This record gives sequence, C-alpha cells and structure tokens, in this order.
Amino acid sequence: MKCRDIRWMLSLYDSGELSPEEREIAETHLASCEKCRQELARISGVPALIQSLHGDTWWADVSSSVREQIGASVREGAPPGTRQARADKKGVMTGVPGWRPTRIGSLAEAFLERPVWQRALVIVAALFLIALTILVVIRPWQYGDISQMVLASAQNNAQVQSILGESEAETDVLVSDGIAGVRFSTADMIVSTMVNVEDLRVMSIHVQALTFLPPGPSPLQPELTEDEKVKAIAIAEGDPYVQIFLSHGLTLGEPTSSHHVLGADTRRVAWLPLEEDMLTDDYRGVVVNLNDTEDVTIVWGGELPGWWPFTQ
Amino acid sequence: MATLVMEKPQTTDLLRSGDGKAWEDLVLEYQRPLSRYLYNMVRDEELARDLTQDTFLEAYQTISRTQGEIKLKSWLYRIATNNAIDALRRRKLVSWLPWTAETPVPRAPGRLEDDICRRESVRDALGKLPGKYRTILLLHDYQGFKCYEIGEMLNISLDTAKKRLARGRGMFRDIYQRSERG
Repeated sequence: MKCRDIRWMLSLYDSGELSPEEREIAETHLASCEKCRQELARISGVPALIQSLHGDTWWADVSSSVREQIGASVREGAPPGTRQARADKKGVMTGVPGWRPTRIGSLAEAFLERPVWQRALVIVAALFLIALTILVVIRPWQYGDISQMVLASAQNNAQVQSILGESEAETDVLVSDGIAGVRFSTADMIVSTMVNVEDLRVMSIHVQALTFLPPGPSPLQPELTEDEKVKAIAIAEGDPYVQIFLSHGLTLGEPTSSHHVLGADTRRVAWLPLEEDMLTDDYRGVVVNLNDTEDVTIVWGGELPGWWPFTQ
Repeated sequence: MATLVMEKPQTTDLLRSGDGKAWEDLVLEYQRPLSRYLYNMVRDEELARDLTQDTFLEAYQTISRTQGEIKLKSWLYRIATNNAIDALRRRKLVSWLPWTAETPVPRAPGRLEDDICRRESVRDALGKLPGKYRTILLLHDYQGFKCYEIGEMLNISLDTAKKRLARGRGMFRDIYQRSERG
C-alpha cells in the first residue's frame, strides 16, 4: 500500500470513523512508515485548533425577527410552506397585514380568458422581446473575437471548441487542448472559465485569470514520462494554489520529495493529488503554492520557464 | 458533538403544523451554534446574521416538503451551508481582492489575547481554504458531524467526505503553520 493511498485514513485515525479493515490497513502501514507517522502527528492537532473557535463569544440573536415573521403567519393560521405562510428574502410574509399579494395568478387567469388571437399576439411579442434581449445583452457575435484571442495564445494544436456563454462576470470557454490563456478584463471582476482538455474531461474552474501556454512543447515534458502532457493550469479564486493538471500519472515524487531550486524564484511547488473526486490511477495533479517564501520545492529545476505566466 | 438521535416525530409534526412554540424552541436552540458556524463560513457578522435568519425562514417555508422523521440539526445545517455558499459565490462576483501576502495577526501579551489571536489565525487559515474544505472542516471538527452525516448533508459519498476532510486538514495545517511562522 502506497503512502498516498492511506493518507486520507490518517485524518480519521483518531476519530473512530475508520472501518475495522481501514484501521488495520492504516495501522500496518504506520508501523513501517516513518513519513506517515510524521504526517499523522502533523495533522492530529488540526481538530483542536478548529475547536478553539468555540471560544468565540459572538452569536446572532435572530429570535425576535424570526418570531415576528413566523408568528405573524401562525396567528393567521397558515401552516408552514403554504402560500399564505411563504416569506420572501426580505422577510415580508404573505398572508399578513402589509403584504402585497402577487398578481401573477390573476394575470394568468385573465390571459386564459382572452381570445386565441390575443393570446397568440402576446406570445409573439414575448418571443420578440427574448430575441431582442439575446441580441442586445448577450451579443453572440462577440464570441468570435474571444475565440481568436484564446487561439492566439494557445498551443499550436489547441482549438477553441465552444464558448458557452459570456456575461459581465463570467466567460466559459471550451478548449480542445493545452492550457493557457487569456486575461479577460471585466472591470476587475473574476472570470469563470471552463476548460475542456483533450480527453474531454471538463473541469469547471473559477479563475481570476486563465493563462494558456505559448506554442511549443510543455516545459514540464522533459520531467514526464513519454505519454504525459500538461493539460491545464488554473488559479482558483481565493485559493492560494495554482493547479496544474497532467494527462497521465504524475511520477515526480511525493509532496515532500523532489525538491529543486528554480532560479531565484522562492515560490513553492508542492505535489498533491488531484481533487479526490477526479482522481484516478491515470490522473494526478499538481498544486503549486505561489506564496510560500521558505521551502522551495519546485520540481522541474533550471531557469524560470518562459511560459511561467506569473512574473515576480 | 452532533446529535445522532433522530428527532422525536412529534417535534417534526409540530413544526410542520406551524406550532409557534415549537418553532420558537427550534430557533432558541440552534441560533447560537448556527450563527457561529455561518460567521466562520463567511467571516462577516452582518451577513452571518442575515444568513441565520434566512436559514430559519427557509426551514419554515420548506418543512412541509419533507416527509417522515428528519434529523432537524443536519437539515438546518444543510440549508445554512447552501445559503452560505450561495452568499460567498455572490460576493465573489461583485468584489474580488487579489491574493496578498499573509496578514500577520497582531500579537498581544496575555492568555486571553493569545486565545483571541489563535482563533483569528485559525479563522484566517480557514478563510484561505477553498469553500468545500472550509465547509467540511467546520462541519466535522467544529460542529461535530460525522463523515457519513456530512455526506448525506452535502450529497457526496462517504468516501469523498473522508478524503475531502483529510485533504482539508492537510491544507489547513500548511496554511496555519505558515501564518504562525510569519
């Protein structure tokens, strides 16, 4: 059993949540693996740290406001979940004094009572408004520009497959291969990008900037086995890590090994598994920490690669 | 610790019937832990207060759609978690601050100050975790839910919950240790 296969068991080792079989596997491994014993010691203090939050004194007393809103409904005799008892997000109760009932129901009735030609006219007008909205707000013809922008910086064999949508805050792009990018300027808002790599495995990534690799072979390629290719790199919003996704098993070592200094760059690159729900025998991931300034654990060595998009 | 005992059926029935006393008891019992949980999720007192209120109102609106006996605590935390994640997502869309260097927590002498500083460091480290890891650490290590309960609550498999917890703890430890050294 490899270390990475039992690492998750260590977190549950002391909480009684391992099955007897899992516990036996963990105990057997721990007895012979100093590194995992150290890891167990490292993470065993985490629950106590989190539990220290119980020392907080702040809490929100919402009893009077909830009582007021629920109580009004109860006084009206309306059980929970009924139309009369429903509250909107602002806490305004239906069925109580001061509530303005929705007119959708009466409008629908009036609509159905109209002659057929009038109903058809209303439907046509509605469809026209929807089409107008698509043309004015979504502006689908602009997608072509984004495709060109993505292709200009993508790898030679990359092709933009489709762009799912564009809004002020989000742009979803499907790319057939390679990584990298484009920095969408959307009034300082984050950009949400979806990358579809060669194997059509769609990764939904919220990124502040997605950067495509420049044309040419992957800079990680010399370190990888024959079939491996870098597939995607992403910065998750609010996440201190940059994630690099590879096409095949990552064989560069455990997170604490394979330490090489990368020029003057003092940032850490730490190998960690891909998201557990995406992890398979063939797919491993890399997590690069941009912010660590102490332990340099960059794995590919040499000069700062030209493709590295995050200048110091 | 999480209550594993199924709620008494009559409690659920009373809530479904709109019994004012039952709802008041529910709010009084859970508002404190729920609001603290939400505060640690969103790190904003006003937002946590609103989310706590929304959680109870949503519970009131939707309890009639539940059937049979329900675990009220898990159910409330599921609503609260979804509301918090939605709120964080909305907040991301309207404001974003670039990742910056660690903000050192001011150190003050004394045990009480140390406790407060440690809690702030813990909260800082939690805040730097991706939402799903923050959620599972708070539900498991702070609120005392077991992995199988969290799996049901978040609609993920038991295996995923266990692995997510393990990875979350590892990431938390890394971030926390760096802030301690800083």
